[in-house]
Amino acid sequence: MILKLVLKSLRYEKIRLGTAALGVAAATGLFVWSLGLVVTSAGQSRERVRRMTAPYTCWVSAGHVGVRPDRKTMMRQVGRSSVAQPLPPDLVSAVQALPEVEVATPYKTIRTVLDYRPGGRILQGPPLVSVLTLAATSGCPYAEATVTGRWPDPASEALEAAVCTAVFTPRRLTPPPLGSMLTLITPSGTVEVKITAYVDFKEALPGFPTSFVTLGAMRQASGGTYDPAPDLLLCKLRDGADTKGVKAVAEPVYKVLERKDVEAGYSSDKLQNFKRQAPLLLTLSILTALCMLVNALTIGVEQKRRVLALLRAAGMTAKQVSQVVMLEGAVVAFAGWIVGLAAGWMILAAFVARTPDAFPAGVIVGWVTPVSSLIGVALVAAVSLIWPCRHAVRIKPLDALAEQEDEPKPISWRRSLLGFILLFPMLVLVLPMPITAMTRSVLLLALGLPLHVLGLLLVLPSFVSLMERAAAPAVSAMLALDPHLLRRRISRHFSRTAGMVLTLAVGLGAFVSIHIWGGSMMAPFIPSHEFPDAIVSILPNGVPASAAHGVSRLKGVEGGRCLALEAAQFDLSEALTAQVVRVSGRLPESPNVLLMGTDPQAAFGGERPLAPFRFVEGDRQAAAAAMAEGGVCVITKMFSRETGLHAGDTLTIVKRGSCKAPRGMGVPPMKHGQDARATPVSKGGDKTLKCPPAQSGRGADGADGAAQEMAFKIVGVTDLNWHLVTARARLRGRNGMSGMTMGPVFVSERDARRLTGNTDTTYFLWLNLSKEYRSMGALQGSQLLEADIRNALDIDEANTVCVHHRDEIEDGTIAHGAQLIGDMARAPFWSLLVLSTGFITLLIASFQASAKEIAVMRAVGMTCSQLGRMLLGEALLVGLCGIVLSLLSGFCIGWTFTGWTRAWFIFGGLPVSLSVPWRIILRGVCFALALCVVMAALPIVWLVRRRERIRF
Amino acid sequence: MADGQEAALQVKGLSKSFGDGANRVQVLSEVDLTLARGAFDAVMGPSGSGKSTLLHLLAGLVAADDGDIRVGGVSISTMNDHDATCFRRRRIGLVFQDFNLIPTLTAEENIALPLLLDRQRPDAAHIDALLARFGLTQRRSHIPSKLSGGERQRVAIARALVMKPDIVLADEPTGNLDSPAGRAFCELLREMNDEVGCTILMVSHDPVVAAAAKRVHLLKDGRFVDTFETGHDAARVSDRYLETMRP
Repeated sequence: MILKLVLKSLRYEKIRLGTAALGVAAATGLFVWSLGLVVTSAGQSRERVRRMTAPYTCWVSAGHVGVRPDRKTMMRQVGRSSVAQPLPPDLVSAVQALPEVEVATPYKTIRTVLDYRPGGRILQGPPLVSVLTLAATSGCPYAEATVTGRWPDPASEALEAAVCTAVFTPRRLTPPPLGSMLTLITPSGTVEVKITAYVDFKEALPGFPTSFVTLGAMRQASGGTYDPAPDLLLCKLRDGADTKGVKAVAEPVYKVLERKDVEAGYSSDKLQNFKRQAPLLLTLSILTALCMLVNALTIGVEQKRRVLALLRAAGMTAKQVSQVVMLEGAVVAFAGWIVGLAAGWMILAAFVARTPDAFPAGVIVGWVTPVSSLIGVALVAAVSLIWPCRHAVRIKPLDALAEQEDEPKPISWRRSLLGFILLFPMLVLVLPMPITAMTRSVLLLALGLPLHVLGLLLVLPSFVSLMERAAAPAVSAMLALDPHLLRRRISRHFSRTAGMVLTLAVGLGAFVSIHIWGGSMMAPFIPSHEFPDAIVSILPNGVPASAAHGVSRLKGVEGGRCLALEAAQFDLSEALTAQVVRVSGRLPESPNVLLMGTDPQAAFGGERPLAPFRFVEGDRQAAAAAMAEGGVCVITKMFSRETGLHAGDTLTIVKRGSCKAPRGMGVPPMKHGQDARATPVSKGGDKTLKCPPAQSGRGADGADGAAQEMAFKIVGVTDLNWHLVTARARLRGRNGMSGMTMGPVFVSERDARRLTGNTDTTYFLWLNLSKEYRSMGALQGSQLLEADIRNALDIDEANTVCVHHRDEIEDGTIAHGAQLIGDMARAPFWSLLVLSTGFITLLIASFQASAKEIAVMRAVGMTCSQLGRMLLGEALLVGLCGIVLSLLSGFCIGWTFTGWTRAWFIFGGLPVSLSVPWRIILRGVCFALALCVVMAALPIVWLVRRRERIRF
Repeated sequence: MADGQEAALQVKGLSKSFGDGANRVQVLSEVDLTLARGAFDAVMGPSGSGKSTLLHLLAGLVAADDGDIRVGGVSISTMNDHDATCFRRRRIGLVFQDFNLIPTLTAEENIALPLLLDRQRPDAAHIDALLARFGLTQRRSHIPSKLSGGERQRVAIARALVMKPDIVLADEPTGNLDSPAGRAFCELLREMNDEVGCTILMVSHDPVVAAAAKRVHLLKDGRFVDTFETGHDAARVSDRYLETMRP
């Protein structure tokens, strides 16, 4: 009997159950697509690594060549070129002599950074990296690569190179055409090579050669003297051989890696990416399926109310009634899962078939994907049945059989008020608090979000009623209807309306929250406009210290003011580091500061300072005067937040003179971003080690022995967004320091040079563009100024001059951020599209529920057009309720998540910022409204055109 | 009917069937009917005789297979749905058995519904007069669930009259009322007819109700088989009905 009832439902309520199944199918499809893509991608790792390394099967080096660095290591290495430790000749010979080794080719490599400017723009983001090696006479070493152009002659003195496209493809950049010049920044200086050939190689392992140059280029890259001692030995083993013999010869001093060691990294890389996106995708999938099922089943119970009441009157138990609902839900969920699984797999197969290069091994779905999706659908279905079953078993036979009187249910304003209050406690988690990130996460999941959801449910009845009263007049006027016709149209059947309102709020709310989260997270990284227009970097060799004076006379420089900037990173003292842990609740990633020394009066003092920073503590003029005296500093507000330091306190930093040993050398691991090339003077944990001299002959470590603490009194705190200005201008990550820092500290140039020991060279300049140059635009003005500076200072080819304009950095930041956020926000749009199909069910149910009322109105004189507009008005009111709720909830969730993200973020001290991208949100709102109209139009046209006899 | 005076209702050769093929049922066949202005007629017949269908056809709620229907001299047979609806709204009043009030509108708003649908601003004085006439002034702000059956039916007749229609069509208007309320309602209809000159065509199976009308038309198997003056005598109506309907 129960099965019969369900089958009749399926037959006569196709639209309702079909849209619910569609929702489940869409959710399943998204899940199958996402996880299937990850599994497929991960499954390609073997083939990918094979292609990247063929014909070589293993390799020997001093470092971890071939292994992808984690994010922290990448941040530390950003912008750094280097020379690897060479392999001893006897090791190379020994490996070559092994019987299992068919070929062992030694390579001398130099890690270089490219000064690549597509369209003349300085590349925003981490610079491109290429590993240089001498081109072999036999041609390209990679078996799977094709070469276009002329292979460089290894013996030639001309500066030529064959470059792998893998250098450019990870950043989706178009390589410059053959014959173009490419500037490489090496540890010894700059080399400009002509690209004579491209190696079509989509991906390369880190540390593997990607630029094959002539002898002349290698010589120049090595600083004039080319030492061919190899640091990388690529080996091809004979079939069936293993690496035991090679490892026996090379390890433990040197590292032997083979393909399978690297495959796991590429496989886990994809899984890592999925893990980052998984919470959002899974949450959306679950909520989509849940909303569609709950909505459809609840409406179904409403529609079958009289039937169920009759059945109860005839003897059906409440348990049997709930079984009807459960079976219906199970059938819909299962049907949706089947369709979703098939659709997800087909879309994945089509995608993979279109990109065979990226997926040479084809589609790999495995068993995990279908099983986990089935489990997920089953769980969602089980949860979604709770409310409709509860609703169904509470139908009292006699009540339902009696004439349905539409008694307006009184709204409990107390409950509504409680609900409203409960919406906001989660916002407390926006604030910086001395709790760990894990504690914050637990509070969010256990309290914040559940309270918010509870608040939504409690406030919903009054919310719908108030929205209806507020919006009905306007909607009626827009649709040329009398307002009475829309009165209580949606609040009467609250369960139906609530389901659709919450459904819409989920889709649009996710979109709103992502954009608010993204905008708010990005806000502290948009460079402050108080920064001077540009920082000029002259690297790696700099210019004489007096250069600033020469540059200031250029017509592109405003007011004849160009200041030298002496920049270097210094570690915090142990005491201060411990204070940071106390204040912020965690150890900073890189407890160092970026000391920026300049002329304080010109920079900060006077009526027209070069850098009119906003001082939130201390007086600008007084601070400038004090800095001129020396021994004082100005810190940023972010640094103040993270450390608890304020104006009047003392900042203590460590002057380089000692460092801690790196891991893997029999001594305790490093805690801070110390130079990994430090050599131990003794084993067993002695922490006073001699650091290697800093690059370019400069050094702050003039003396051996213990670290020296330097103290600066803080005379001011300035509110500044500094991250990207200091990163793009290459102020950070020099001299073996990490690319990360806790922030700039402004001191006098004299103090900075005293600490760095550099008295005669300037690497950075600070200036504003003149009005004339500014009017050309940031890019053109900067390019022109760069050329002027190069001419004025007679800078040699070994140096690169870059004018890092703040506006360019800002544009790049915003574009990158917008792209990231946009990618994330795409999923909610898809979700909204699926969820809005619920309107079809809603309107049909509404029409059927009020069929008699509609018939009366038609009889009294309502035209089909008026009826259609009335139904459209109903849909718009529901849509507006969903939109307003999504804005409220999306705001709360989005902003709360900024606090949560900040707690886990590698950057500390970020302000509590709120940025609402109104334009984007408005677009989302318009899209949602348009969807409401489109989805409502279909059933409206169908219902209104049915022309049934008007029955009473 | 006097020459030159337009009939309130004129029906010629009206036919209607439902279904097709073997399931086809001829509900009305070649029905003719004329009501002068100010007439108060009733249509009686057994269940399934086509009474309600006739009323629905006259109201323009259903399209006829054949024949012509003129209300106030205007043919509604050839109108499309939109025009027929607008016409019905302005020129025809409908009273149903189940009252059929809009549950979310107050008594006053239910009465004004045709005006609201026509996007006319309700004339407050006119509405007040109707409320007063039907003894609903104190109940004007109540929704239907708070009104008694009699009050709801009075709201229904007021709604039917608000646009001052050419004709009021009432389908079993006392079907859901008890006897006293039913009698009161019939008396009300007679007053409307006498005082206002409102043309009324009522469908009923109850001779007592039909006797409120001046004239009765007997419908059998889709055709009018008899028409007679009631003299407001329920017994006479009953006798005539039984005699005519005898198989």
